[in-house]
Amino acid sequence: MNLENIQEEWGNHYNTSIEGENLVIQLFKESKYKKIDSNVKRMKTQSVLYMIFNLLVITYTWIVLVMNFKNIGISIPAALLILLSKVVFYKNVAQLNSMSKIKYTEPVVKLQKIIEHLKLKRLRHNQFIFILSNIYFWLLMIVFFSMNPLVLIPEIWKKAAIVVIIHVGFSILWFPLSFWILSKYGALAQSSTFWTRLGKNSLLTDESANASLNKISSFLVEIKSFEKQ
Amino acid sequence: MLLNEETFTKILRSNKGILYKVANSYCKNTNDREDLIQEIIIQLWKAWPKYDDTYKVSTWMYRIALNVAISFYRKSNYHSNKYDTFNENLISTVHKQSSDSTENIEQLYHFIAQLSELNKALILLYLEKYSYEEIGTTLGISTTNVATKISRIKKQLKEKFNNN
Repeated sequence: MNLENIQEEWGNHYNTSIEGENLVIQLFKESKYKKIDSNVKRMKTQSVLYMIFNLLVITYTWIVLVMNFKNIGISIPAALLILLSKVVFYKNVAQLNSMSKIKYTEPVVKLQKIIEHLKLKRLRHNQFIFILSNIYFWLLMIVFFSMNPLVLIPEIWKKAAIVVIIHVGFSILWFPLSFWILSKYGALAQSSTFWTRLGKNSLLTDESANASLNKISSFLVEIKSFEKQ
Repeated sequence: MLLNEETFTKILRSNKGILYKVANSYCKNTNDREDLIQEIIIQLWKAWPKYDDTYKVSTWMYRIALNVAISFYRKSNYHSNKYDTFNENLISTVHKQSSDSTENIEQLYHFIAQLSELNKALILLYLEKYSYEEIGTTLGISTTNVATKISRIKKQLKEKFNNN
């Protein structure tokens, strides 16, 4: 087979197909009513949801901060929570802004690089949230239940021995427990559409951004080598 | 450019081949192909108000279709490198030509399916007889790079068919 010889045949196929014509028009009409699940749309939804959540947290935390301004046990965690929420909020705004600038009319290599970098940012953003989730959780607890750590910590310190035993026990149990959960989840994810969907739709998994760091970096390497001769 | 649905539909009708060829090259089953065609149409419809008539409509369509296809291909969890069910209704809507001709096209699709996503884009544009310069502009690479890659792909194709 020679590519030059087949160019003519290639150019002609589909040109006179009425069946093909009808299908394209039908798909066009359907597309106006059907919600298409696209990669970018999913990332946009994630960003919007994070933004709504952060706005609610920021608003409530400001109220708590104003009410407990002189109580540093609550006001400092509240200020930290506002700071963290604002960082997450602005990162989401920046992502939404970049996503709205995606133009499919850009040259293929350029656009694919932009999309991969966006996915990379999304994953790093998710990791950032994940790493800070423990601190974020405790800050939320302090603010939402007005728990004063300056009162709580000395109380906990008095029962240091029990606290240490509980922590050590929990650490010993944590690894087998987490392996058990992971294996259970893996098995369930393979056989159940619910678990597969959960993995895709939860906001922090790689799957939810339809990407993984390895896949993204290998495609970026591929693009780079494609650009070279 | 008159931005109405009728004009857009006419353009879709006369360039439907682009959609089918891209979908057949990037997806291996009917459902994925139809989803991809639909996603390409949505992006074409969104980009339509900003269509720049200094480009040919077909070039503009190819650029969007290839960009959507590569993104679609990368997000699809169902694709694999295997070529097992690719033939499922592969070119059911192809204009019936001679059986030799259809066989050639089928063989070519099999070959294209084995290329990387970016090389697929390159060869699709080459098969449509675009100049190296146009291919380079659409893909965002240099003309000499296009020439080198096409000659490599031709060599691969020759070897493949000689081995068969």
